[in-house]
Amino acid sequence: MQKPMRILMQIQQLEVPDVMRCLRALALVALFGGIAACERVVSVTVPANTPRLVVEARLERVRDAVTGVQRIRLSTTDSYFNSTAPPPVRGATVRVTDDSGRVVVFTESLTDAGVYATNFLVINVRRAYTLRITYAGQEYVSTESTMSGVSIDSIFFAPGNGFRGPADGLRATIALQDPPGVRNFYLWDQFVNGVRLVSPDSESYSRVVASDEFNEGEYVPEFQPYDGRVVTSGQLVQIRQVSISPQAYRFYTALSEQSLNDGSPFGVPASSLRGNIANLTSPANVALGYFIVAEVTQAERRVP
Amino acid sequence: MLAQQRPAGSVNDATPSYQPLALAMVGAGPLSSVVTLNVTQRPLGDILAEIARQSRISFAADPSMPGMEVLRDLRVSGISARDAIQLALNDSPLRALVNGAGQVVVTRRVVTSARATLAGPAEPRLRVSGYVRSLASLEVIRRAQLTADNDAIRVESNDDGFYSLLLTPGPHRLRIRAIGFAPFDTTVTLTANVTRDLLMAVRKVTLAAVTVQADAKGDRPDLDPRTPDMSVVRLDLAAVKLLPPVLGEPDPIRSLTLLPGVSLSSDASTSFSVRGGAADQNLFLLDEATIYNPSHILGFLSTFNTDAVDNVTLYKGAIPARFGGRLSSVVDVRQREGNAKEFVGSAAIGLLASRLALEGPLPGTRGSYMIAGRRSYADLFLGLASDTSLRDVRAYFYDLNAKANLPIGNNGALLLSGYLGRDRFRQSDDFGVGWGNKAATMRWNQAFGGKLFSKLTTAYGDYDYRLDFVIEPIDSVSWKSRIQSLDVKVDETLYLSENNSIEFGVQYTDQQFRPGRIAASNASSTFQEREVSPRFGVSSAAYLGQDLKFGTRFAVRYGVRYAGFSRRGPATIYQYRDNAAVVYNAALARYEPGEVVDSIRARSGQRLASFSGWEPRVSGRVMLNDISSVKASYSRTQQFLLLASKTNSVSPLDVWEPVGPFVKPQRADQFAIGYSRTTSDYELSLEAYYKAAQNVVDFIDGADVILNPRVETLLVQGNGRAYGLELLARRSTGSVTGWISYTLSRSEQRFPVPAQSGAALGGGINGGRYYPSPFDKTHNLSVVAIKPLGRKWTLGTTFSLASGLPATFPESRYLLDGLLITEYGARNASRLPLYHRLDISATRNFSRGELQIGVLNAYNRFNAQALRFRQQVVNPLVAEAVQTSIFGIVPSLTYVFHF
Repeated sequence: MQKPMRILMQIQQLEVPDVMRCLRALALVALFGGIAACERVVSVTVPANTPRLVVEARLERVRDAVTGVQRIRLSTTDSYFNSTAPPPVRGATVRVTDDSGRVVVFTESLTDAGVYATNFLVINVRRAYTLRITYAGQEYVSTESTMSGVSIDSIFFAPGNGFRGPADGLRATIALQDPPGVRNFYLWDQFVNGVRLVSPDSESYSRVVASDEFNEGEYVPEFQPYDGRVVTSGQLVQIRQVSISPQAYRFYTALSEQSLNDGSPFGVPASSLRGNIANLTSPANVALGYFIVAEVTQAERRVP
Repeated sequence: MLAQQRPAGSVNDATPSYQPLALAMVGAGPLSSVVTLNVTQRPLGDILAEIARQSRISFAADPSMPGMEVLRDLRVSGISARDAIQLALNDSPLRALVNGAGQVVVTRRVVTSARATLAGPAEPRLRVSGYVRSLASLEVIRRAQLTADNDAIRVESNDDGFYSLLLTPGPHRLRIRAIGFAPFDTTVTLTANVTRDLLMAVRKVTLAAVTVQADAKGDRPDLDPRTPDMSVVRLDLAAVKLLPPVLGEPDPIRSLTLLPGVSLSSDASTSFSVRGGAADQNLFLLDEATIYNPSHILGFLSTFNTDAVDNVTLYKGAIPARFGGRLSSVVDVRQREGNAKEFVGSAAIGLLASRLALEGPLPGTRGSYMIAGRRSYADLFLGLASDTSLRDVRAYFYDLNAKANLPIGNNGALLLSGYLGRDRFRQSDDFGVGWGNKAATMRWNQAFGGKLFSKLTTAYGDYDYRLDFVIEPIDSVSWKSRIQSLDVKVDETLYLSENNSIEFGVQYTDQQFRPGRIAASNASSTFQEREVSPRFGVSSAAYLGQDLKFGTRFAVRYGVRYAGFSRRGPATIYQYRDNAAVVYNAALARYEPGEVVDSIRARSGQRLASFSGWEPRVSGRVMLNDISSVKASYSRTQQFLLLASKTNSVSPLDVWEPVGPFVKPQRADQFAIGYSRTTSDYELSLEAYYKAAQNVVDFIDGADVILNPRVETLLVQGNGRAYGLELLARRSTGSVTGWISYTLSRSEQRFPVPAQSGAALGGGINGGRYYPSPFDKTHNLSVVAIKPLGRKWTLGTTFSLASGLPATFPESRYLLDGLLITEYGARNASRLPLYHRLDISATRNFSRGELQIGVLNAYNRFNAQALRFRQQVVNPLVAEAVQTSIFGIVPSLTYVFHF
């Protein structure tokens, strides 16, 4: 009886490009008995660009834990077919102001280029925070409020749902109670032995986000955020559930849509991602990336 | 008067090919075949018909002609048909004429003095009207060209095969031409208004070189310089069947895309763009019922089974006032009525699907029926696959077409028509998806006094899809979406004279849109269903149009349509901050959904938003000489619904959304000028067009289109413009037939941001400037050739060459949460590589069937359908460009047999 809830969560999480990819595969199978559409890597000349600032700023309050270090990573865009990591940003000024006017300056890490950190910022639920970055004569700004977190009820291991990854094998599974009366948006990170998985499986580059559109106020007994990743006995698995704002949810939906685009007729047209960081000095030259302030809940367990 | 000076023995000086049967030299042929009759006191008409039946001569006579009802005796055995006819006509006021092809007509003996009294100084006109029909099956022939008195008078049969001609009393020579039928000439002698059906023999396309005289001039009215029709193409379905099919399935929609101004967006899809318009701007009508998603296998094939269809007409511009509702085009598909003479059938076995078509007379009536079915069986092969996961895949589609034609009197008919088609995919027991169209039409056609042709139509169209997610057999969830519409239409045509006809009518459509509903499939489940609230709308339209000819040089067709749409409750209406459903955030350079501040529940039937507008349409032609003309047209169209689709191509999971409080109707104005020329060898049409559209739609980034109750928060509306030059050269006779089509065009759109939200910053998509629309193809060339090889084989080839579709290329990249993200340059500023493809098919005729062998993409060109940019799996810091193509070389095999 409770199974459909899980399915719904998965439908929601599955997203349309995924469904379409599945359909397309079926159609081609049906048509050609396996002579599927062919893909070929080609070389393309792309226009040159001027670098833009890229911000990865997720300030977290971990529920029932002492607030520790907060990190913000700054980099710039890079020419498209480079094979190295994009250049880190050095020498920027990074400050976060809360709605009571308290200013905390993030200091540049000496060991990890492009990372700006502080131990002195305390994040509280439902408070607004403003990020200000000054870099190369440009001033960037973004304001977000802390979304209050939702507890992970339990973490356990169950067989996969069949949508992603191999048919057999256990997946980390969580249960949660969606709070009634409010719209909630979730982002999940999964760590295996302390290493964060980048995407649900090794071929789809996306972030796992969901809204409570179909689960409003309900108990979700079984949900596998990383249903494409099999966990094996002895691994220590941690799931972090991040409550994000509607705009952050749309940002990640757009991100997933773009990176899951499979070039089929059912892909979406290519377009650039736009985050929530404005450039006050030259407004057309917005920064890329995001500024998120969130309460996080986490659960961990070793695979039996 | 000239007519009075003609010798009595000749019907028309200009047509010496007809001569009295008594004088004609008759060689071996039907006229020499032996007949036997033994009848007493039978009407002359019946006796002649019996002779014609036994000898299989091509025979035309008006059964209502005075003299035909006279009762006669005839006892002959073993004499020639010619002698039998002469015996039967002995002492009768009638006589028989024959032409070189052996066609026999029976007319009144011309008496000069009688005609002199009838043809007074006032030249009274008499009306001859009826249907143009196929000799073989009595099916109506739509849009046949009729000319009388050496082309001085020209009319066209309408979409139901009805014609009406006003002529002076006395004999007239009629020439009738229609696509796929042998040219037919006959005479009619008028002493009173008459009803007369004209019967035409089917032309064997495969033997085109042998049987067709070099006289196909004018049998394709679509490019005819003498009609004011512009931007209209009619498919010759017999030729379509000879073109290389996709996996053995001839597809009229794919064939349409070989014509100028029509371009496919993908090899995998039959959704197309007409003159730069979006795919949802094309209206598909199957016997007047709307087909909302005419596709099988995710768009790979269209739902139109060539066995069941006898007319496919595409209006790209100058759309007649009787059509409305979509911006860019109308695809008017008519199902066959079936053979009213005898039961016939055909079956086809192909690699992808099998087809069966049956037709015949309806017992107890003079009517006919047609039933055609098609089913794919690719999934049956999957059972043999070595990969066990494929064995559980179930994938098929089917179509069922049916039509019945019940004549009412001599001048009317009741037509019942239906369509049912469905696709099913099922992967093991976990996931299933299905979609399909249903359509039904009931129509009463009636001609009143040969002058007024009236149609009363009700049509029902229905499209739905469902997704099933199954975890355990007893516990599954289904997701359904549906659109339904019911039309009631009255269409009237008044034939005032051969130079003047008036069309008028009204139309009322009730539409229900159900974007999505999720529910447990099992009734006993406690699962709580959820539904995006349905949308209800009513559209209505009235139109009036007139066709006028001024002498032989000028003709004009004008009309106006007044169309309205009103969105009705019950519905939840949201209110947004600043009354803006979508906001452009200039500081962040992105669109955001508007903030909901309130919602109101509107009760059932309450009017939520209404739109209406005039749609003037006008087209005209000036003959430059006998064979060429210049044409010009203007038309306005409106569209009250849109496809909520963000994807590159139309998918079965797209939902239709009507206009409403926050979504404005789209409107387009199109101007075109053209030149058309027809000689006995070829037809040439050259057209230039300019189209400007308002409120065209695009979706904002990150928009969740599926199951979103507030689609208005996800879309922006802007302007579109398209212009181009189209060339079509067609050859319908000779040893090689076919056409060359070339389009040079540009299609652009722009989405400016309203001034109050920072237009000064150049916001919006592409800074609010015009950019190429996703369907923009600069050059598009198609060459289609059909060539008979000997008497048994026919070769069909199509070659396409087109500019690549617009693509958006990356400018730079960055890392976000460990994912490589692409920062794109200007929207649609780059192009995919050149597209070219050659398809070949060979068809062998057998006495009772055809075998067709086809090769798609004969030289295995890797045509890019999309270029995407992705992160490498092995090295996540490296990006690569990946080009996708839909198919390489694909063979096909089909066998059709007739019974």
